Amino acid sequence: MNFHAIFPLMDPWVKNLAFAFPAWIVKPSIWIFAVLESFHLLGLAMLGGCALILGMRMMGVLLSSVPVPTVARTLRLWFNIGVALVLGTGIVIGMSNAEKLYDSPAFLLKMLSMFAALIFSYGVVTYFTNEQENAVTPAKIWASVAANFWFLCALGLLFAGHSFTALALVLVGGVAAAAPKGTSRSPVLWVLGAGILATLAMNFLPIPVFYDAPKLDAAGQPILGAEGKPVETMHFFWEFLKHDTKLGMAGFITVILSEALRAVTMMRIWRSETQTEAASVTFSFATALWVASVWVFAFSTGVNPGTFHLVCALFLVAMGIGGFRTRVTLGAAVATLVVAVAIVTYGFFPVQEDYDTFMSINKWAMRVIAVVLVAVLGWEMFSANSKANKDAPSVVKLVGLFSLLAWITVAAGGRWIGLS
Amino acid sequence: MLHDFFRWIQETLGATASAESWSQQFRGSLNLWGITEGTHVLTLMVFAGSIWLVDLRLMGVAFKSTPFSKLNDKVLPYTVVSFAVLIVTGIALFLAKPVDYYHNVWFRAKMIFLIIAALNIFWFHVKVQKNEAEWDEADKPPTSARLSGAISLSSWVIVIILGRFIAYNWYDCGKPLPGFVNWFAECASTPSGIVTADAAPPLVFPASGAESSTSQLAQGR
Repeated sequence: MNFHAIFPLMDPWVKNLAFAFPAWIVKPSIWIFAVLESFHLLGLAMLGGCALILGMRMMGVLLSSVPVPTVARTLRLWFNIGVALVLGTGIVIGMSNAEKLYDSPAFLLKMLSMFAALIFSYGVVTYFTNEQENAVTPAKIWASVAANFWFLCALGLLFAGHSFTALALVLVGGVAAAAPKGTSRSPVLWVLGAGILATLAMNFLPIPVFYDAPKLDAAGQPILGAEGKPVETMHFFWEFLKHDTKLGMAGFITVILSEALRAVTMMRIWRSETQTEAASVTFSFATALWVASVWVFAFSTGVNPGTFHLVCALFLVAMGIGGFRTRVTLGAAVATLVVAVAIVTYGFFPVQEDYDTFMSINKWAMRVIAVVLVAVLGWEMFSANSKANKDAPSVVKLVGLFSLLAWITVAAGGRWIGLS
Repeated sequence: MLHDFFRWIQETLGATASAESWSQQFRGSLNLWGITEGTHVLTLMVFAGSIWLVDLRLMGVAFKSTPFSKLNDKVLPYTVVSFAVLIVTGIALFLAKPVDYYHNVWFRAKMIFLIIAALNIFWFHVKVQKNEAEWDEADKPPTSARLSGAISLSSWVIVIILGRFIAYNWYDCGKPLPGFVNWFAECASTPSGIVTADAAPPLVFPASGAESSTSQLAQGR
């Protein structure tokens, strides 16, 4: 999945980007481009350090004697500098490379996780690190931004022809918008997760109408392209109404539902009496966006080896916040799995020559480690007996963890644009 | 001498009649090189980000109300662990193309600034930190401490920039380069007057994939 597949109509605009200012100056000059890339990296390091320190502080393991608001206030300027550097250079680099990025799944996941990370850092983290409870926090504004962004995504997908994906997205967004008061322990996150899984499942079902519809000839048979595959075409929802009842209905329902849910969400946000309520909406949307980015990461061929970095980050965070017992157990579990994979790969069943077996062993090992890590981190976040639990409320820890992981996803995705 | 040693690593070490050298196998690996490189870059975020914040405290710019020792003690483990990962992945990446990197202008410059950063750390621990208790809680640490912070911050910035430039082949041996670049990168002269990292004729190997390092360079990975 990439931007080209989702928004094919943007093709001419993307092709023209490299000839627009300032890309037409930057692209031919390898020097300017290289310098911009260096500063992109510097900005990423700056904001990465800030995100790491604030994230770990929110999880209660770093600088625990300094109050969270003080840490947040001190880091704010440097974090902003990092973000400004990354965005400023990133836009120009992106314009110069537009055609490549348009077809890159890594770029899609980087953008998804970047929006999630920005919403986390400026919307959710700001709220939880504010010094005064009733200060003018931007929680409501960010909740609106997040909610609107979500429905814009759904509408964009709808107009690009992904009616059923858009419909699923609207449903997920609706669940997120319906977040009840309080954040962490409410069932909303679980429902949200189920919604996202449902969306993903819909994409995996081998029913063609869930993606772009094949172009049909007058007799209703799919038109075959040069490679013998059906030519896929985009439909706008009114065209679905004309040609395909099922898709037409899905499109129609998506528009009605998304507008209705957006209106309800906006009303909820602006009428919410506490900032917490608005912050919880923001948190839910940002989490859903980030999970979507991780999904693109995990299921895009050529890019998915990059999830190694995410799993590593999970492992390091778990080792960082865990108590002695957690560290020993986790270290032993991961070491056992790595040794087992090595033995299976090079020992009993030498599969080096058999690419498919080799890959599936790696993938399954990665999945098992990821599940173990998520379980351990969940326990550390929510169990009353965990070491980290004494230092900070679960929800603050979760916000710290997710915002950190979202930025790591941005960086890992960015690196795998070049490597895939 | 080092050139020959790195060339041996790059082209001979681990090579058999049917397989390329370990270095070439690593460079041509499906994902291992990419994962190593990605880990190097991502760990940089942790390392540089954490050391810069300590530098900024040392310069009296950030975290003024937090005693230096408190910040340093808490953040230092992250810096040390990430530095260890950077070194391990960095050496691994170097060994994928040792001859090319050895003659790379940016790589050599990066090593110089790495040494400057290391000397600065040494100076800081031996001299500056000696009377740390006196300025630990000061908003503005003494000049030596601020200088050390500034050297550290700027040298790591330069190291990152130079590290990024290694990927570009503007100044590779064999190109028409100013004399001092050829001197700095130790590019050797050939009888035909072309300056290249590999003046000696290529070694002959049974392995089929033994390419000359210059052709590898041109790809500018």
